[in-house]
Amino acid sequence: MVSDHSNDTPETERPVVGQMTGRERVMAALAGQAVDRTPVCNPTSVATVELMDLVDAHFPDANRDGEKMARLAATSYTELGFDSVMPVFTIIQESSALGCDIQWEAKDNWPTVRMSKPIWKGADDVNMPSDFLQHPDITCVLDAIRRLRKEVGDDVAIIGKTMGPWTLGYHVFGVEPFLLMSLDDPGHTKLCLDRMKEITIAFGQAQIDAGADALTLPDHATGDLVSGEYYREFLRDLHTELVDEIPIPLILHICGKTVDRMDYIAQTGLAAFHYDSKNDPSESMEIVTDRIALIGNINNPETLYAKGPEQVAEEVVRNLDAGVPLVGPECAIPLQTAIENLKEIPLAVARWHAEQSSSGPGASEANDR
Amino acid sequence: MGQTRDLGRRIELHSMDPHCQDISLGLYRQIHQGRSGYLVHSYSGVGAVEGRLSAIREGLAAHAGMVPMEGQPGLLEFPCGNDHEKALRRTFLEVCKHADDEIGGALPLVRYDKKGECELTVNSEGNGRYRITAPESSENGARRIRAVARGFAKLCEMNVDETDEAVVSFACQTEHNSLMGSLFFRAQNVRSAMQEDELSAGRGVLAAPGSQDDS
Repeated sequence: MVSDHSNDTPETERPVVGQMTGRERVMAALAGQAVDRTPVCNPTSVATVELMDLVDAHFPDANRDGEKMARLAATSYTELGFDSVMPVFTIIQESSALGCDIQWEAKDNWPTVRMSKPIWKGADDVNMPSDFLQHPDITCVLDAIRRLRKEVGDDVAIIGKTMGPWTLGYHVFGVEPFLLMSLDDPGHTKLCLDRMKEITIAFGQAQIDAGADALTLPDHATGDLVSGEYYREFLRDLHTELVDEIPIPLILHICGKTVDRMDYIAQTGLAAFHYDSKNDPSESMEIVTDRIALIGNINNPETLYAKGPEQVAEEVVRNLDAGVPLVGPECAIPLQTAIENLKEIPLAVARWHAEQSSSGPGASEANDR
Repeated sequence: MGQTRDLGRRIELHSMDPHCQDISLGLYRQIHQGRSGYLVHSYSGVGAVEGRLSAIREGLAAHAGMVPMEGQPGLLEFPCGNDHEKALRRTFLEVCKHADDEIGGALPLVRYDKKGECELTVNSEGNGRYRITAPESSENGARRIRAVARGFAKLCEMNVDETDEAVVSFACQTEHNSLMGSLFFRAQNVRSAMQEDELSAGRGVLAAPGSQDDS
């Protein structure tokens, strides 16, 4: 089976790909190269309360202790059969190290930044502490990546995570003040973003040094708060700069409906876009073509959390039929998600490929998108 | 390689059990020879797990009227062979809220009703039919009877009799006194049960920073 999401290679000229490891599969797909089958990838968290029990690594400790973080992250490979592991479950590690007030919550809920208590007001306040990379909520991530590199690094892709400047802006300035600043003084906002970009790069580089194969870049310019034109004005060029600065594949994550900015996202040179189920796979693929790999977009709250394996498989197939090159949940999965639903994702991918290969030449076209 | 098992379809989860070191408890459905059997399971390895699972199983036997499934150790089923999953899921969550020594036996079919300022009684009429009654002297009794009957219909997937709104029945035409007793207090205030469901459904779901409420 050969798959290549560049559409322009004639069938007869496609390279034959032997069986790959999960790591090879993910990295090839991120590079737009041929793979033996579609990789199952989780650029955001697939931790659940039951997996926490299984390996005795519970939130909030598993968000602050590298050994527990690595143990929990490894389950996405050892238990679920994914082709990647991703130990940075939260979106607040950097913000904690910057001094934001964090509500760490309990086993069954996500830690959050208390954004009603912003720590900065303007560009002059933006400052990465000199000991930022030594903060315990940063070092635990680096420790987890080192451990995973050693334990499963030959088999699966290790994906780290460094928050983009827009999300950091929400955390350190507060959502409303930051959005108002972007309306009132776009120049000042860009200056803030440019300075915060250094935090994104520093944490990203530290994870690369620790052994990350790729990095998720969550930058929540979400469809419900900002328009596609906003993305173009504030983030497109900045994300291009991040591609230049960070020497491994970057996977942008933005929740919600994002078709109005996918063309801009595809212009950045980012390796992949982790996209939400609010976007139709076929429409999204038509927009991005082969400029960027899409990853996703299995619905979390309605499907993975509330429905069964049959419905999960349907969504997997919808993505595969559309030619989406990496399949996985749309975002960090709800902590109460059933394990059987997560296991169904790789099973459905395997079944789809088996069906494609057994159904003759007519199927190869869909397979090779 | 993995340690997770095929336990069937998980139909309910109690994500943190304060009575047993915050372990997660799952209720799983398995089909054996066409009948549904239910397994209470935890992936936790803490020492107290087996005792807790046993207490929850006993609680389901007492509060949902379930019995051991023949030939399937650890599985419970309804004697009627039907699923009654909505009622079972809620009963499971109610049982999990209690410490082992507080789970106790089946709950009575008579309860004081604060809104009606009277006692309400659930009377079995056989064949899975139940009539809700209140003292004739009660001013709000008739209104509360209808409300509680509708509550049972919603919580237990029962049918309200079209000609008599005080009567509800199970489609399986079998008595389920334990279920009726355990969900009686919920049927008296369905709205609070629904609000609890909504709160629980939102927990553990990560919202984008712009959608988070940290007030």
